[in-house]
Amino acid sequence: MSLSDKQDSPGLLVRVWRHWQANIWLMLVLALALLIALGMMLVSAGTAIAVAASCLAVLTFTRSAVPADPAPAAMDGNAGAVVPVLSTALEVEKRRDDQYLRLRAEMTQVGSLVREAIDGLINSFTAISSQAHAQQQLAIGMTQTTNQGGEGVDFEDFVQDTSQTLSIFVDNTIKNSQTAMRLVERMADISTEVGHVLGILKDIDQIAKQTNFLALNAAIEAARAGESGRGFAVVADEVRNLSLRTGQFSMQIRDNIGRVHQFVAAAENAIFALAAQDMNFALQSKKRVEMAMHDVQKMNAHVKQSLVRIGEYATDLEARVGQAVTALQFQDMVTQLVGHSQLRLNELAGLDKMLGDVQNSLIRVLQQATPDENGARAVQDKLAAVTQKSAALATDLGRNPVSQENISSGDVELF
Amino acid sequence: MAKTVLTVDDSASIRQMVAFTLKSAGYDVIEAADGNAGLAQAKNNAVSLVLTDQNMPGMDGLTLIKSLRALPNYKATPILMLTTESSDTMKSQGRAAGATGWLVKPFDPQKLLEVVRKVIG
Repeated sequence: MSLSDKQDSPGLLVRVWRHWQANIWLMLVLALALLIALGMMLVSAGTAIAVAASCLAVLTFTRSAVPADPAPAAMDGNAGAVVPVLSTALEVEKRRDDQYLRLRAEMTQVGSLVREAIDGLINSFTAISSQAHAQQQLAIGMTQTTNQGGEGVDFEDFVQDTSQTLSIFVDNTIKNSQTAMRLVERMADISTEVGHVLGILKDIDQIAKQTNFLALNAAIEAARAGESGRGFAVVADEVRNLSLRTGQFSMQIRDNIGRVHQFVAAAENAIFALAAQDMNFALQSKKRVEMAMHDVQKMNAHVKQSLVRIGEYATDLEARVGQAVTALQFQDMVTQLVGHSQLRLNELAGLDKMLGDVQNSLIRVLQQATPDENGARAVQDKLAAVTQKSAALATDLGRNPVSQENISSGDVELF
Repeated sequence: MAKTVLTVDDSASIRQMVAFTLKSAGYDVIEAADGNAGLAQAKNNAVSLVLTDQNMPGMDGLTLIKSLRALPNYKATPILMLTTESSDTMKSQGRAAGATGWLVKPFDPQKLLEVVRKVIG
């Protein structure tokens, strides 16, 4: 039945009212059942509870027919019995309104709790991301330093240069050692030559001795010759002196050559020891440094690999923080959804209040001892207003501002 | 000199996340909590890009876009809508109001950066 039908002819309630005395309790229950059905359709738990409670109160009263709360304004037995129904309904409404208040407060609490938690999480993730970024920059910087260096030092080049320098040093040392060995051989030659010189000096000594012996014989022969041999005696004496001096020189030379021979032998030993020692030391050093350089190269490669990994971890961390940033936006969606639900709740509470008013007005009309056509018309108008309001809810609140069903990132469209 | 992006959203967390994402890429970011505050910020600063939400108390995103397009300085400035709204009706309203693009929340920081780089470099 439409509203216009009701306006053109006496409404359902008016027509029913004309026969109310015939079956008033049946009609009361029917009317309240109508309200319950309407309330249930409007998906308001509060409404359903309130109306159902009213109905329950009426039914209870119908069965007992004993007023729990006799009203002073009761017109007769039946009318007086309706008063506790009204007071019960009002009491239920009060409780319902209290529940609405609590529901609103709890929804607000949800919003503020989520907001506070998300603020904290965002701060944490922001800090994590900044630190990951800083770590990545450090890793990149260190990789560059390892490769080329802040001041152009290439570690690989450094290792190679050092290795090459060391090779040159070792080669030179080996050459020096070979030269020293040749010197040792030369020293041996010198020793041999000195030996020859000493042999020759022996011959000179022999010659000096024989000369001395000849000079002595010549002096004897000169003495035998007498006066005529005097001059020859002088010559023989000089020859003898010469032979003695020759013997002394020879001895001095032998002494000197002997010392030279000792020095050369000592030098020969020293050069030999030096040559042998340098060669071993250089070869061992070369081996040790080559091993050290190899280790350094391995370490360098490991450091580089680790730095690359650190960079990768930081990049991965940044990506994951990005995912967290996407997911954390659920707070914005939840807040909007809760806000929209609160709007719905407010509208439903308003509708509920209107329904309560219809219910109470109906009870008051039924309470009258005589038919009250105006009262019945007023109830009908109120019911029409409720119907209109409930229909408007669908269009006013039908659009949900949050269309997302999950937290995966939304579409991007450039016009 | 870094380009300035204005983010307009009634959700502080969204503003914070947009600012964090764009600042890490070298942009300057200024914030406003609704259309009115966004309009005032846009008038007082040289803004290269505006990122605005749709549903906000005070002035909503569509009204902000229309108001900005009425200003001589913002006739060609890129304005991106960043909102939970994703219906074709809303998008066509945005296009009609002068929006440069439509991003549906939640945004992926990398995607947001790609779009921002695309429209303002």
